[in-house]
Amino acid sequence: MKKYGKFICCLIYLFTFINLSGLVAQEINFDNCWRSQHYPTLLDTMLKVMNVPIEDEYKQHDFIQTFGCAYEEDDIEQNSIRAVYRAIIQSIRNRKLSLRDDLDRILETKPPRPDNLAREYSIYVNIPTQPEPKAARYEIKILNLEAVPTIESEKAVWTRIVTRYAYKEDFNIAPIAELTPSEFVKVMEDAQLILKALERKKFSKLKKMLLVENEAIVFPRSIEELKFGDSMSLFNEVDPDNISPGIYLGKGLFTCNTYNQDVVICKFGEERLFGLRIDTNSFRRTIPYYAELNYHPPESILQCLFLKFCHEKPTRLPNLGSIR
Amino acid sequence: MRNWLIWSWLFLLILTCSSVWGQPLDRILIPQMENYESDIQNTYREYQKIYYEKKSSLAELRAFEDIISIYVSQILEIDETLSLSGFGELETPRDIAARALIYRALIYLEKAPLNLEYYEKACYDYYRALSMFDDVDTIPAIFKRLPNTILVGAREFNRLIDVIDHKGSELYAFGKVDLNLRNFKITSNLDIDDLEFVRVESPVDKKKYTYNSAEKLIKETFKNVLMNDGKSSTFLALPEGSYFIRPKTHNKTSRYTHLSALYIRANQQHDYIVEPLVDWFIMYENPGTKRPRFTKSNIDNLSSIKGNGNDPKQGMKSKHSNKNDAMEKLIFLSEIINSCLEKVDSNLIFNIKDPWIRNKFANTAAEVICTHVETLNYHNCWSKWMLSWIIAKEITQKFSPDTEVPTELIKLVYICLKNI
Repeated sequence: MKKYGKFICCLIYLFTFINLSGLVAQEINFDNCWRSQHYPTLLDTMLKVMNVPIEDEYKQHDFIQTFGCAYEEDDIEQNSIRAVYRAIIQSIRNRKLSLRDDLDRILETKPPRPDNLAREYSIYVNIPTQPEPKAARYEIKILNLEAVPTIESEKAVWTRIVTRYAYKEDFNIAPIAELTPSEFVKVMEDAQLILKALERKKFSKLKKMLLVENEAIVFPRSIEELKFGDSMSLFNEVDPDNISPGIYLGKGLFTCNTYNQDVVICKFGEERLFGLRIDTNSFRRTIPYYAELNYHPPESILQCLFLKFCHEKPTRLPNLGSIR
Repeated sequence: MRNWLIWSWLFLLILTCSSVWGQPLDRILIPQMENYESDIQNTYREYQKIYYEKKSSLAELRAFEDIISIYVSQILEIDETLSLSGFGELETPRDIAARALIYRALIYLEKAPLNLEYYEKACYDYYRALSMFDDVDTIPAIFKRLPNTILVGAREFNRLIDVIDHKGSELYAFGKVDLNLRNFKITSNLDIDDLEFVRVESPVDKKKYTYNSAEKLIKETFKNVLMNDGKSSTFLALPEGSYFIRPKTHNKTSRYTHLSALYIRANQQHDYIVEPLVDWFIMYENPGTKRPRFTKSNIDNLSSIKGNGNDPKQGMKSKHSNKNDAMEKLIFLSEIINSCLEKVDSNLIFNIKDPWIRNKFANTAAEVICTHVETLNYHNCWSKWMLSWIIAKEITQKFSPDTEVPTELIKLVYICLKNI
């Protein structure tokens, strides 16, 4: 009986261990925020799908192919709208055109979903001609629209579209189109490298990659205007002339060097745990494309990065003596 | 409930009558507010008498508190009615409403040594009174002269700030937190009833001030957020320390609580933004710190308060490179004070008509402001008005000791602080 008792105990332990490890697997992988047992990254997915060449029938009829993806929203429909929007905007940029219609409204009123029939759109664009721009009808066909669970979001969506002018005469007067499949994916790739460097706490590499020392091109005036990669100055609460740089990540999170040269990932307000203050007059943007392409780092990665190192922080504000 | 119905009915009646007779609503309601205010003053006096009598019972004190609360809620309702009706002249009702709240805070402060919960209650009223002046540049009611002097203990006071200074030092043990929830959607996976608000216990905490109202207010705000287009806000009065929100059922790792942590310093205001983040939410502070810039642009553009868009790094470099930094700052500040003196009634600030005295005053004020903006007080004080009060007190002490701090001086310091 004793023998069986031990065996049952072992089984119970094993069962509990399997169950617990299952639970842990469902939660965040703090060892590597970019690795998951279940899902690939959206970037990997995009790099794979972007190898698909445009079909000959479309190529012959002056279509160009572009790609888009989205992971920011917790909703497949909203992500589909964003992904298609990004693909259309890429096509517009490739052809050096500007929009005449409110593309957002068009997509909101007739949303593209992975499972419905909204697959074709027609919008008006401006062709840059002299002396004034010419209006032209522009055709959009969605060839692929798929929801794929990825590390960034379980509701991520990617799309492949083809676009062309509705009339041949517009095509003839328009500038020659570039064939960039997706600048957004390039930005995602850069950002992923930055976030991976941050995970390894390589702050000086981060500063180099984000050109923090360069001359600023935009000066955001509040945290609402801050975008990924914007930099800021933090000053010592006791000695305000002692300044260190910080880099904004998104969702109120930023990274900076503390005075003992530790790299920390803080949410706004936590800098005071280290006796620092953010100077809101010091927000600077040196790289424009994260803002231009409306890039937001994946929330799941931000959450993972923040939680990974949060136990290293003090739990209370330092005592700065009596404050009136 | 019944009371509320009766008063709502009365308001409707007043509204109807005023439109029928063509009499402006404010002419009826403001005198009514003034009557309530004098009733509050009388009740406060009575309360003090009863409180310090030996035979006073808690039930009696409670009854007085209830009476004052009724007056205060009437005043606040009238103030809301007037502001919703779009009347131009809102200063008087706002001042009365703020004063009423401060009177109630003072009553709570009397009783607080017996029951620590009352410090928290007083703080909510005090913060609410001051927050009425958040978006305006008019001087808050507590700094203005009272219509009637009030007797507190054996002393007579003309301004509420003097009473607060005399009796309300415990209020400074709390910090104000403005919580702004945003971007929440119906799909947000949050069980609001499962949330609990917890303080990180520490042996450093001297007095056990309470924070009983916070959890209820946070839950209410979370419930409202889904009804109000993903936005909702509230404010909390919390004793100094660290706090966090966690799920009662603990189905998340303890690390998640760091996302919802609040760090409170006494006598400060913290603006926190709350946003959803994956399967939980994040609470982060909206940093309001701006390092003072002692540059020529401050003087050239005194009217513009916003940043001028110059690269702050450049400004700092030139500042650091200059060895006569301190002297330059003082000169800049004196110039700012001199230009700001034209925006206030300088005749009411001591006796500074003589150019030499005026110059000396500007230098003294510049010195005091300079020391304050270079220290913790500048970044940590929870309201610019309160900081102006502290600075004005110090200027008075240096320039004309044993005199009352002139209200115009508080205003002058406030304008200066806004311009640096």
